Amino acid sequence: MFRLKEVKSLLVPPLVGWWVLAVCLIGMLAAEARAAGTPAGTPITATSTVNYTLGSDPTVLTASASNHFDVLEVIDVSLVWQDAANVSVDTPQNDRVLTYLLTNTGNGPEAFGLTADETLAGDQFNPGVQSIWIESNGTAGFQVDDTPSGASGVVLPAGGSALIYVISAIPAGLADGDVGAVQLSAAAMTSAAPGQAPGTVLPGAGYNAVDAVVGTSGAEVNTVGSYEVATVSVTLTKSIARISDPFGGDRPYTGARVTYRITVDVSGAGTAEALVISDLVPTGMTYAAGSLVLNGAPRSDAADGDPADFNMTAADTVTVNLSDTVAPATHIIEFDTTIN
Amino acid sequence: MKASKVLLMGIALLIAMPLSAWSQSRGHIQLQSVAEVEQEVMNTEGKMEIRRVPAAKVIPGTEVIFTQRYENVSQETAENAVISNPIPEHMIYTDGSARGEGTRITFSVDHGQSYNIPAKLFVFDTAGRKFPARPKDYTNIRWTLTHPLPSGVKGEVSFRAILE
Repeated sequence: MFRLKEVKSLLVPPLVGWWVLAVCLIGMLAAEARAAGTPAGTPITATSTVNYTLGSDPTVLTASASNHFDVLEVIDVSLVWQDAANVSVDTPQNDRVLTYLLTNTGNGPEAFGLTADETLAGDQFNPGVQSIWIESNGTAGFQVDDTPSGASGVVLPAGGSALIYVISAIPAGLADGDVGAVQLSAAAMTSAAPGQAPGTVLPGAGYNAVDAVVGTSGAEVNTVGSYEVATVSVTLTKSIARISDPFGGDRPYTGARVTYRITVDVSGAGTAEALVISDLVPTGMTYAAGSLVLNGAPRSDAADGDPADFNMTAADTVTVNLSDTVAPATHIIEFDTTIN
Repeated sequence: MKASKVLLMGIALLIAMPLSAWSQSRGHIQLQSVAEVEQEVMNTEGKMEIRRVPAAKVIPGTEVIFTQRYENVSQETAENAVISNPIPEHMIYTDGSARGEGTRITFSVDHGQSYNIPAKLFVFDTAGRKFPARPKDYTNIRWTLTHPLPSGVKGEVSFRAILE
């Protein structure tokens, strides 16, 4: 980490200064991987007291002494890609989101500048990074009323975190399974800190002008997240599961009860997002109240906590909200009608 | 012969002593408090060695060595000497680090209201349940000198703590 010439300078008292401190602090940083800690600038005072008597005099005498030092600011940062797997995308598709968690692991407030690089080697396409956003509206996930990242970066208190969204446009003409990566970089905005060796001391550069020390991250961090082209298909198969006529048979007479079955098959790769199945009850048929079943479990007709209803989301229609559905998956919806 | 030499040396020492020492009819124990950290530096032989330096620059996670040096600068023997030291806020005592030759070391978990040895220290949770105290619970350290401190005798006690 240090050249020989620099190490030798440690032996010269007038030059010891910051380099000695740096050597000392590097050792400390190796063992110090915790976030935050005592806030930068905190004064630490130790006071000792001695009580005693002299000779035969029972009077208790007291003396005390103190020492004091201040806590330096450690500039440190971590960045973790939050998506559980490559984010599925179509080709082309706009506004696809990668999510990262940025944490100020130092012990003082710090601003971090954000940049994204999509021109990485080893992937199959370059996502067109459109913008970087900071979670701020209190609703999980990216929304347009979150805060766009600007020149002032993300200001985080010691130990504080923020979700960061990278928004990209996926090019056309890609093949299923193609991967495109984006590297998000976060660098401390304290002048001269990013890229310095851990342990480097920056005199007066810390919070409230205390000295700052570059942490194990080097005051900057890069993390890669990826998109993957995944074409997902949804196939619906509607059939009559059974008929029960009023005479004990299975003929479609008037008054017969007909059980319809809709099989939802999600295949391919990726996620069928916000998948909702709707089925209008055919003319000449009447829905049999309370007959809705999803994957073998009864569901109420009301618009309530379960994901299915009849005549609530849409008139005279069975509606089942399957939400984001990861392929492969199969769902079976059944409901009864009677022939008018 | 030997006795007269000792006597002569004693007279010489008395002459050499500063007048202030003589005029100090009732002296006291002088106390000095020092905070240091250990650092690894290269010595003149080119080998790395551990050296203590003043704890002027400290970051979280650093272990600081607090040393109290005492000296009886009075002309009388000091009795019943007890040195106490609150563990500074934001610092956690390093288990087993307290030192003090010729002292009985006890700890407090109630900011110095009571002291005891570690095995007899307890803390309570919010539900009133009793648990053995851990080093992070210690608030104060006390060194009770087990013998009188004669005039001119000095010593030191110390402990280590880590900055949170």
